[in-house]
Amino acid sequence: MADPSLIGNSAKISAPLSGDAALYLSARGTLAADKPQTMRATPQIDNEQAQWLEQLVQKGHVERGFAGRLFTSGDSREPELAGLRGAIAGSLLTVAFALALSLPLGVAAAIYLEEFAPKNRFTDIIEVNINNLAAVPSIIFGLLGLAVFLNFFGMPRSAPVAGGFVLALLVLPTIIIASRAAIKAVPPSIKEAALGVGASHQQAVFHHVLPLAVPGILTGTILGVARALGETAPLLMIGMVAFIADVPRGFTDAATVLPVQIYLWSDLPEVGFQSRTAAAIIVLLLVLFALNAAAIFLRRRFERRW
Amino acid sequence: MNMIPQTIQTPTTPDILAGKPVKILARNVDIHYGDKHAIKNLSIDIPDRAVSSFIGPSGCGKSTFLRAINRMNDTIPGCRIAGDITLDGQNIYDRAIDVVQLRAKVGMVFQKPNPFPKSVFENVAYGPRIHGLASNKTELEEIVVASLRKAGLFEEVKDRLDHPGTGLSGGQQQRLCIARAIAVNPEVILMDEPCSALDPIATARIEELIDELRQNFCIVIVTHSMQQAARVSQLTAFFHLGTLVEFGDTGKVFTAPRDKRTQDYITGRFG
Ligand SMILES: Nc1ncnc2c1ncn2[C@@H]1O[C@H](COP(=O)(O)OP(=O)(O)O)[C@@H](O)[C@H]1O
Ligand SMILES: [Mg+2]
Repeated sequence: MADPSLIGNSAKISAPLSGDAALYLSARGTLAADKPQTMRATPQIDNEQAQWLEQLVQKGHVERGFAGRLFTSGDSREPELAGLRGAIAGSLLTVAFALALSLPLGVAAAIYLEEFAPKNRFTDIIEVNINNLAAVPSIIFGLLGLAVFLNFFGMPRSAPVAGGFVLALLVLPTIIIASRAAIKAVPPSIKEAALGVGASHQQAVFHHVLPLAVPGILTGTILGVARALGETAPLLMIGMVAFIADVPRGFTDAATVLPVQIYLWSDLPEVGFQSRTAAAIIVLLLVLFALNAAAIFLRRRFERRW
Repeated sequence: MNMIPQTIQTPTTPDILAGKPVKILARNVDIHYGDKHAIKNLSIDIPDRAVSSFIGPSGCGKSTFLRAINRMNDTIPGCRIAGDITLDGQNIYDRAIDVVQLRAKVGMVFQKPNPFPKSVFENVAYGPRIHGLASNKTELEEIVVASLRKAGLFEEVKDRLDHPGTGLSGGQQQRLCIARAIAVNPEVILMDEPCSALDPIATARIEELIDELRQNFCIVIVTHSMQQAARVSQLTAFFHLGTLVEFGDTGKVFTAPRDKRTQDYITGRFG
């Protein structure tokens, strides 16, 4: 024992109420405790346990409070111990990886296609394909990830790297299309002005057009991130759907993400997971609202200032 | 290219030009946009240190030819040019010509004022900076101030050089664009209807400025206003349906045009 001097003293400890007990207590008013056990809403609580709970309540030992554990612990088989920290970390790692790949690639592709690519059949085909890719169901990207990233390249299953690659492919068309629209929206007169004082085409694009397109590109990127954060289907295909209690620490650790965690919890039989699922949904929705609000803010803030 | 004569002798040679140095010379220029024949077999000699204006009904190719002089048409897909245009005897469509250097020598002012969405200072400093015209900050500041002075704008903006150029009035913005063009030491300044978006007072201010700039630059201005052409230019070229109908001494073009089409246009019969 770490501190033997504690022996013999009494100390106050608190422990989370199990989901069954919590449900029993909340249903107490409508369903009398003296009903037979099998007729109550919580048949898992036997009469003896019910009495203990009643005693605890009478002594004032049962408190309600914010379940901060939701954000501080990883997944667990016990609903009262389960938290979102692992899923949040997994989402962050996966989306960060996806963004690190797709943002530079997407913006570079957009600049090239919009400003430098010759107009010919080949670039026409590429353009059509990018537009079509944006409409491909996400599960297909998951299948591609399974076949290419896991089976062919041998990336670790359930890991943010694999998820990141899949989500990067998924949001790439969105980012390219949004960036091209943003670049196109910069008035040609700005580029002409730069060319008119002897700037090269590259200088005109990188000194003048691109900076003006940045807000639009960011807006598109944020919407892409929001989409990536909410994606479930493709990640199921690459095994990010396993029960993982540890919080992932790196891109190759097994991980899951927020929407998949919701899917997992919603499927569990324990009643306590119902409220966990609801809480996780609220967390995901709040994050998505915040991202969309940021996108709208950016769009408003930088709308046509020339 | 060296065979092209350097003294003025086009069929439409204006008398007052005889013996004057030619700055821009065009021979048998044809310009197409895809199938559209926008400029037809055009030849012209444009003198240095004078204002030459291009007039004509809209769609007759004035802007097209103007943009050929600094190769701005290169940026338009489907635009093809044939024939020769020389600047000081050098063919500007030669393979050896660096378009970027050409555009530094032949500045342009556009129809709608188009300052960069940056500060007044940055607007003027951009050109000298990319061309390496200033070796330090003080030199750059000197160039900016001198250019703003030449464009007659310095007194109005000296307290707000760090304010956005887009916040100036329309006339000030256009003078800012002229300052920006002057800042890279051009030899020619092309202006495409520079006053069409401005009120009469701002227009008068720009016209005054053009008259001053004529001492140091070769100026070519496209205008839809015959009065403006009469006020600012020494030479006037009349364009019609892609051909250069007449080019000569502004006074003569307006009082005694040689061609019937010119006469019809200046007397308001069409256009
Ligand atoms: N980018 C372009 N693509 C196709 N046709 C053009 C383009 N620019 C101008 N044109 C055509 O070329 C002709 C001359 O145009 P322009 O030089 O702009 O005339 P102006 O400046 O005299 O009004 C017009 O008939 C116009 O329709
Ligand atoms: Mg025009």
